[in-house]
Amino acid sequence: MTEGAISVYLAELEAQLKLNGVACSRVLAETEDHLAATAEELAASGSTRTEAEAEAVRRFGRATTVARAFAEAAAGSAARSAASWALASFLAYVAAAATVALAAPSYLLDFPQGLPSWFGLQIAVVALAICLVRWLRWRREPLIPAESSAPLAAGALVATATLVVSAAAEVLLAATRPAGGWQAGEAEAVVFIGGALVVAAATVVAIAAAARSRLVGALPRERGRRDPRATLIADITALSTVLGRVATRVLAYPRLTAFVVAATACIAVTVTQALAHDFAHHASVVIGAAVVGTLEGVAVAVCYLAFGRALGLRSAGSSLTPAR
Amino acid sequence: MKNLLSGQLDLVVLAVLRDGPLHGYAIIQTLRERSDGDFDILEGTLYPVLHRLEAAAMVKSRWDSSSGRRRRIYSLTQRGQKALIARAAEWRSFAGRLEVVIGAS
Repeated sequence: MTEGAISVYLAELEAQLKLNGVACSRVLAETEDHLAATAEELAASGSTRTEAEAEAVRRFGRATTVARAFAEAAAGSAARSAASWALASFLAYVAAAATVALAAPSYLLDFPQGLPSWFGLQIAVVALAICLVRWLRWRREPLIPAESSAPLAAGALVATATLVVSAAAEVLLAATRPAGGWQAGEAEAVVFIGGALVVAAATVVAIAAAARSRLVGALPRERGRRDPRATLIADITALSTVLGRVATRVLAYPRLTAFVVAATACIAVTVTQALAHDFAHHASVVIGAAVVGTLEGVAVAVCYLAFGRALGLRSAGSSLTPAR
Repeated sequence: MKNLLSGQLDLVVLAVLRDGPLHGYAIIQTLRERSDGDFDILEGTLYPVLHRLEAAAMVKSRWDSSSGRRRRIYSLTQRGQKALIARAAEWRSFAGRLEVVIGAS
């Protein structure tokens, strides 16, 4: 290890990199080589060794600035990776759930078996759709700004965490069935647990990415470095001006939009449920359909309140007034 | 000049690597030479750029000890070449339009 200003700088950079959760052996090796080369060049042109090292360090930049740049790059990569894992885990879960739904004996699928997956998949679809918009927006850029990598990671986390909770609830329902009977659907259960394990792995990746983004977001920011484009409206507008205008109108009143979506979901599910039965005119069928429809509407509203901020659908303190 | 350059570092680094593989220190020197010393960036900010370009598969790197010092050598990938062509065209178009606007004022 080189002595003097360079070794002091390397120690400081190592501490900063570790603080920012960046793997540092390669970075330190490259930095040491760069600083030594600069110092050698300066010494050859007449500087003393001490002056040369001090100047090499000055030219390289503050350790906090360099470490932050590495942390930001790592957070962007982690968020992209989390989004890819979330999509893969969603597909694995859909395949596993479909296998159970299609192949398991019908008596194993009686209410409420399947209900957690029904809700979980809906939330995951919305979260992944938002993730996809953000992923598409930054797909050609090597660097995702910290302000944008955080919501991308959060979207992946919402999708995967919802699916993991759904999977756990399904397994719990299956394990606590009073009549048992899952021996008849053993192969389907194994496939479902396989899908659930993929979701669990994706959740771990998403948690790590979200933590990394949060860490970068909490770092002191240089003047003028805040990116104002990190909103869902800005992401949609960057992909399509027309869709951006629609999104601006729809997301301008987030609570009102959520209410309209919840009401529409309630009516749609009620009608679909009622029409799915042969005795749609019967009062009990209509009441049953209305209960399921109401449950769907309430779930939409609850999800908006629970995940809206993480997904960037609403800001802190959003109301019936336009979102800014 | 520094602020303008910081937004285009990816493009500039890809352009420097177009002529062949280089290590970080040589990239800085080439950049300085080509700009007559005007493009004088904080040298430490180059490495995060190189690492994220590598993560995006636009550059690849390997350790090299042939000079007696162990150095990481960076070279452009096919994806990087395509990105360089696209970004250079984008930048020229932007600069042309800006020139029209500025020239008109």
